[in-house]
Amino acid sequence: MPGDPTTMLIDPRMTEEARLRLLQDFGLDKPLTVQYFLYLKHLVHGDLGMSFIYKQPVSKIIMSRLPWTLILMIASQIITMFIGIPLGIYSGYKKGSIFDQIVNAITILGVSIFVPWLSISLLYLFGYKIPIFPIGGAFTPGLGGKELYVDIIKHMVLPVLTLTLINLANYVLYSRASIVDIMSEDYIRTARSKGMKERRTIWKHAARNAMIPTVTVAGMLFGSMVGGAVLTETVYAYPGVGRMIYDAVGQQDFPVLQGAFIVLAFSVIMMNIIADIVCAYLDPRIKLE
Amino acid sequence: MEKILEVKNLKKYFPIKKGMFGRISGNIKAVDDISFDLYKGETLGVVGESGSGKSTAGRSILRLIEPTSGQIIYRNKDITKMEGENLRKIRRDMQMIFQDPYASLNPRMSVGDCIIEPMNEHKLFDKNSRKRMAEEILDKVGLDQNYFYRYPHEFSGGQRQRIGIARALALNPEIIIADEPVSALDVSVQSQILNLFNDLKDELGLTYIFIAHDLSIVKYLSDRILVMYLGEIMEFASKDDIFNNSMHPYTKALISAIPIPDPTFKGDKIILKGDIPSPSNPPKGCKFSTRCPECMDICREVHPKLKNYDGHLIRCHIYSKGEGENC
Amino acid sequence: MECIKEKKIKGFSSKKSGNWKKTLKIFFKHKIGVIGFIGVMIVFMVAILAPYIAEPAEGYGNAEDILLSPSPQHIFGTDSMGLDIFSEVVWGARSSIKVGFIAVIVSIFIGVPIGLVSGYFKGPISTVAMGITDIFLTIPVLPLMIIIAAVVGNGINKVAVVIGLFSWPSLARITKAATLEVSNMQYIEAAKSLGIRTRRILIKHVLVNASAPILVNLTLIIATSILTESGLSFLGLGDPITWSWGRILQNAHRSGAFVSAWWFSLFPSLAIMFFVISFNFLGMGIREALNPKLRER
Repeated sequence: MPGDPTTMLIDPRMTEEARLRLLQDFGLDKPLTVQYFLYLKHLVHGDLGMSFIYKQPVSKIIMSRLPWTLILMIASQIITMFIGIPLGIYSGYKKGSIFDQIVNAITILGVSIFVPWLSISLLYLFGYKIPIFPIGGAFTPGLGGKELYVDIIKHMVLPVLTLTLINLANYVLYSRASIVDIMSEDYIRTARSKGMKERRTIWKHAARNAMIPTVTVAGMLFGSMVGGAVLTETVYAYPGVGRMIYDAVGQQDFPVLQGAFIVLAFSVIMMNIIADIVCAYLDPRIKLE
Repeated sequence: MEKILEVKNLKKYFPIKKGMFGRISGNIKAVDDISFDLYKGETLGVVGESGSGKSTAGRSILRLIEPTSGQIIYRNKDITKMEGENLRKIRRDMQMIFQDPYASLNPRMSVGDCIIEPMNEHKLFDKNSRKRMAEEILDKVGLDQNYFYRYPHEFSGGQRQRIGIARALALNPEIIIADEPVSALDVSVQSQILNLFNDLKDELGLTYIFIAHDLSIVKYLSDRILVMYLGEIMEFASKDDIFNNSMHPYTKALISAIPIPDPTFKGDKIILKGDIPSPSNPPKGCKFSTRCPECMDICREVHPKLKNYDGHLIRCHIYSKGEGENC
Repeated sequence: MECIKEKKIKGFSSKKSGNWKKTLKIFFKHKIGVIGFIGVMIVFMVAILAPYIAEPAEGYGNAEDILLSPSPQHIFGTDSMGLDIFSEVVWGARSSIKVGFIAVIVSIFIGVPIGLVSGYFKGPISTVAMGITDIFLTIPVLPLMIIIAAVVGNGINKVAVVIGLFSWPSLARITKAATLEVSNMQYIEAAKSLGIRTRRILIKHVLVNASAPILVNLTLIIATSILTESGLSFLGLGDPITWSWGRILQNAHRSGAFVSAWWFSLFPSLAIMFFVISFNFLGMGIREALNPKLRER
């Protein structure tokens, strides 16, 4: 197996006996299937194994970094939805207009941009050239109280901006598509022939209906944001799970990688459940049973 | 007359699932116990409004939908539960013509391929003569042989229906079940297609089950007529008996609804009140009781059985003194 | 008898109807599709003609050539090892095409059958298949890909296969939706009643008519595969031997010259953008061309 993890643990001066004993401790001498079974067993107890490199429990490492990633992703998710969905709806409403065309063009760009490049360009522009924002990390050590919060937010701006720009496209596209569909339906055409006040209520309903498929997809899109988060954190040296993954790859620290995946998967599934609940609240047709 | 098809106590129920676990809370009784025999060379007309179960019955006979219970016997072979190769072989003998000429043809398949495909599948005729056979069939349904390479979107509704008929004839079937084949066509085209049906019947010795919601169409073609309502047979008799001597109030209402092309005609139209009940919750007693202009107290309580009056079958309490039942 | 026969309509050709010609005609009317097509062709040509366009960049360049800004000799400048970036980008196009196509083929082989089966057959098979697909669609795929790529090792083909292994779920979903729609059509019922074998129905009747959204999705898969590959390369999981645009960017990042040598990261990023936008546009063009509403005369 390329990148044999045991080489990380072994001090070349160890005797063969000691090496084998170390392997035993880590359970690496048992066949692969048994290893994974043990892993699952530990998993249920919340034990994600030990990091090869840091010699610390993986769960401890991840838990210390997860909050940072979550702040970034959740902040980005909220902003993306609040900007993307209305943008998409309005763009679909004014289908074919200049506004719509511009939005479409930006969307296409957003989908085709390479995340690290965007991150670094933003970093360069607003970190170096016009030094408004810090160039890395999550906070400046030594600050306390209110200053610390402001500082944290300052450090968050660029990464969140990056993530938002990348994911905006998806929300814009989905909500635009749903409103275009809805607009072609008969009840909207009837609305057009009626007076202003009635039109407004009907449009409110249409917008609400257009949001529903988008929110449904929000859970799934949250999952796809993780990839972007990994790359963004890497560039900004942001101490989240993403950066941790990057470092772990470089050092071939497998338990950390596995643990990261599991924790992230779990977080995403939780987000999906939340999204389903929100959906059920918005859509009177779906009933939670 | 030779009996070629027997349908015995055919039922098709669609379960209604409710709740998170899909608990079955009831059934839609689309076809609720129908039986009839089909004789070679005849045209059996099946009429009823939407929801009467006539289309479902037709599809169940062809095993396009699986019957819930009952038997279908073709030439003394019980085909109800046939599977695999056996079922495929039987398919050669019974074909369907569909209602929507715009949806019943594969838009990506040329007319010729459409007709040849079943021949290829069943390995009928020798390979080289299949194209010729297909062209002959095109000719029989009144289409130019050169249309062989064309695609469905190049044709009108009436022409597409002819293509559908040609396709059904490819396997040289004995029985053709036509499910409202002219309902989607313009009136002027309808008569052309109906005439085609008649001519093909004589020429090829076909037997039809002709499903329609319009009695006037069925009157033109049928030998016997079967009237369905909410999945049940209400009346079943020869064409003449149905039109000259109709017994069931429902049939009478259907007949009176046929427009008479005579402005001076002053007949009474029987207008049925109320809506057709839901097939998942039919009325107690006679299913027609909620709309029947001649409804009696017993009709609301007791479900009438189908009785046989010298070949004229009727399910109605008005004629409660009868000889024998038809089962 | 005459009233039954159709009158011969003049003007119809009796040859095989040019179905494909018509599709192409509609395609080329659509500006965006054409732009995409040209873009894709450019990438293809660059990839195929790479040996004629630029010398492959190998090994180490001269020390004095390190990080030169764009000039007539090096139109994209040079990188941290003194190698010509233009050549790297040109040869990188080959990897991009390779990755795109291997990923697409893997996706097709897994995604289309699963989608077809889920959409056509009812019952437990369908539910299970869709369940698996949904799981893949929900969980964050990049970390998983990273783990697998780390285990499997470097190598452009392996990376491409791994990407394909994670691209099939969206294809399966689209295939299922299209299959579902087609399966409810009367001509499928007709095929069944004619006794046509299921396998043939699935291919000749269902798949053929469901192919439009599938084809569009394929172009999207190719487009996103390059982004994924670049991301993986950037993180260090790419192929250290073969040139790919992600590898250039990784070098840029590692050398610390990302910011000072703007050309180092700009040109590969532009190449990526060009690739992605071209394939996206191509997909949009295909969607318009195969739209049934435009085809009925």
